[in-house]
Amino acid sequence: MDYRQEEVIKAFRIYAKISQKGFSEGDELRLYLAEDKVRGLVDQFAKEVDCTIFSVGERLYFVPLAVHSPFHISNDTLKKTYFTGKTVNADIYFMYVTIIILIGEFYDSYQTTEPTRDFISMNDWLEQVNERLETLQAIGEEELKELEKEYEYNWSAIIGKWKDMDDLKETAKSQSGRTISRLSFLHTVKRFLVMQELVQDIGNDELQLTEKAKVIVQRYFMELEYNRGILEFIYSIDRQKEEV
Amino acid sequence: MDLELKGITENYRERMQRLALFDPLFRLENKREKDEKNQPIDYFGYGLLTLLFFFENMLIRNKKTSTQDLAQYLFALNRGEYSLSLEGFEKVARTIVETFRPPSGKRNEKTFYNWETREYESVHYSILKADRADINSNTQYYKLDEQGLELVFATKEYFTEFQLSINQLVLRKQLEKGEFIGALRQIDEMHIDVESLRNRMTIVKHEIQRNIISDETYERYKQMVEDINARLIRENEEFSELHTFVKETKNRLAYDMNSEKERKAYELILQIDRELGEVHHIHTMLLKESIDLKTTALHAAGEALYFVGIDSFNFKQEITAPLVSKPLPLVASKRLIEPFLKIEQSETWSPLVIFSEQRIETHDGIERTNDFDELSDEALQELENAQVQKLFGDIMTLLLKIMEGKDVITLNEVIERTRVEDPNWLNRRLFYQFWYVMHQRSPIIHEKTEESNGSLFEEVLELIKHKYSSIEIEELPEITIVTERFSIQNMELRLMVGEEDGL
Repeated sequence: MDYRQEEVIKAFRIYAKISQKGFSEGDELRLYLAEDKVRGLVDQFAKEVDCTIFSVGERLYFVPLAVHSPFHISNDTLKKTYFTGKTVNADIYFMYVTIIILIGEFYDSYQTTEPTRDFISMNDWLEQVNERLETLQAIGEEELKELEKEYEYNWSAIIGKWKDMDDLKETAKSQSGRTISRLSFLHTVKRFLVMQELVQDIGNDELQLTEKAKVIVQRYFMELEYNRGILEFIYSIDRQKEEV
Repeated sequence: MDLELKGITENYRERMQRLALFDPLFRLENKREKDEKNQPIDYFGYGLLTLLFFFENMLIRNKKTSTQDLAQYLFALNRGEYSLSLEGFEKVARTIVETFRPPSGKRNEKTFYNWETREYESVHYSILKADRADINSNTQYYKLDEQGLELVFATKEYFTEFQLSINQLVLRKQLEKGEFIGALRQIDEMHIDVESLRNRMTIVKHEIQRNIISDETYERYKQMVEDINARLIRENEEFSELHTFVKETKNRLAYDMNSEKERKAYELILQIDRELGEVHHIHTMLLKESIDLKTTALHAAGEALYFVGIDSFNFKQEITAPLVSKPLPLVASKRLIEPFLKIEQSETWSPLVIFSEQRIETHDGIERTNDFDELSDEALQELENAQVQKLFGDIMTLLLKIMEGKDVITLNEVIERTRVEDPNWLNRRLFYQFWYVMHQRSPIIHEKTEESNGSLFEEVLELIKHKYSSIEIEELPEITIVTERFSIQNMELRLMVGEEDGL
């Protein structure tokens, strides 16, 4: 396709802005929506760095796709930006697990592509995490260790840590502070999610998903192409294990 | 407080009556009868079907509809869903008819405590009535009674969809009859209608943005958006007409205001005019939004169609479950969560920065810049309470007094006059904050402030809204030392007249 220089520059400007801030809005959004060639170029630029662009409400978001995209936020950046010095990689991974559990609670039906609930309470979330970890525990520590010999971070450490924590610390006045309890861990995760604009705290210890989160689930996880990638990824790990 | 909430208990009885209509359906639901395979019979559903069956028969002017006909219809509809013979369905049909039309001959009744009159009252309703009978074959024919029809209508979306139009009709009637107090109430209800319409549109908009996965859904949304658009246009026309009508009434009333009663009526119509204008304005914004929706959002969604989506995806089953129960290695969680996370932004420092303009630090380490001070979000939040609103209003009152009807004034002039008029203001931080925030938010327009920072300028705008539509502030070069404690950059304030006549 032929592009005029002006179009290429326009597209690059949008791309540069989005890749700098992670999102874009206003005139750029309108330009992106209105001019087919510009949009095509921006999308192509994004693809070159393994990212994709979603329009969510009034904004365009830049979402990294594959593992090797240069735009992925690293665990170190996460630790530096959002957490304290004591946070280790295992904590970060466990945070991911709790987030996945949270999102699963919203999308747990084959009947609809919409979330099945409007909000979730911190307690329900905690209960779900507890339940999942109990399932894991049931597998048995020996077997679990055996399964994960080749990986640096293993589940047993997480289970151990989680087991040692109380659901909530009865002596502490606020569970959201720096007390060590399961609930306060989830509060930390919640704060992170709020900062990432994935959930909204609607008060009364209840959370709801933002439009951004919903779009990502529906436009990424439910997108045939990406979806296949994800499922293949899940099954590929499975096979590896069997081969071992 | 009391005054504003007095509408809650109004028409309590009528509302109760409307709710009571549903009772028979729930009574049916509570029946615990089973079919031959021990499967509970869907009495609630059959109840609704019965209503629809009689309704349909009335539509085609079939005057002879009996229990037997109903049973045959249900039997034909069944097609293996329930294990019931025709006799079984006859029993079901009889039970339902009896529930809708008690065989005792007494009408259905609901007793409740009326919080409006503070007495126990009861409402009666009749859903099904006997139309005629064939004595020879001992068959009775039925049709829906008044409330039965109401119940059928209540199950259609009909009511909410056309609520605004209905309110507009009622309003017109009330205005024609001169029932101004009722009219005000009607406008309040319109406010709620418009608000719910807005919510609905937001939902549709969001759904369009993420849900369009096939041509079929695209067409469905397109139709939906067009419907919304058409409806809004129609309602908008009606609003314009109502507005004209109110204006005429206002003019008519303005000519003869001899008695106290007429003066009162005039005041009311002024209020109606204002509030109707407000609703109309919000509604017009909605219309604009719906056009946007039609052009931009739908277009974008159509463009995105070439991405093929899948119909359903159970995140919990397909992602959460394998992660934890297989289990996948912990690091795999990162791959699964990645699409949700922000992207990495690297910060680099260029040595060339040393040649660029430097910020000058004072000896106490505080940065001094020539920029205008910006208030942080928290500071704004703090300012956003009713008290500040009120004080801002006071400042504006003073300002208008000083301006003496002019449209433009500089801050320096204001300060000089304030020294004479009310020097206390000059020692208050808020006076300066008023100018800061105004500058930061300029131009200040009614709908803009509503969205961006609550109602901080509500009182301010209230003061000027009959004459002007917005305030603009522009900074001037010099800095004025007002008191020992405060100095501020000079600014020019302009009151702007918009295209509309100050609504």
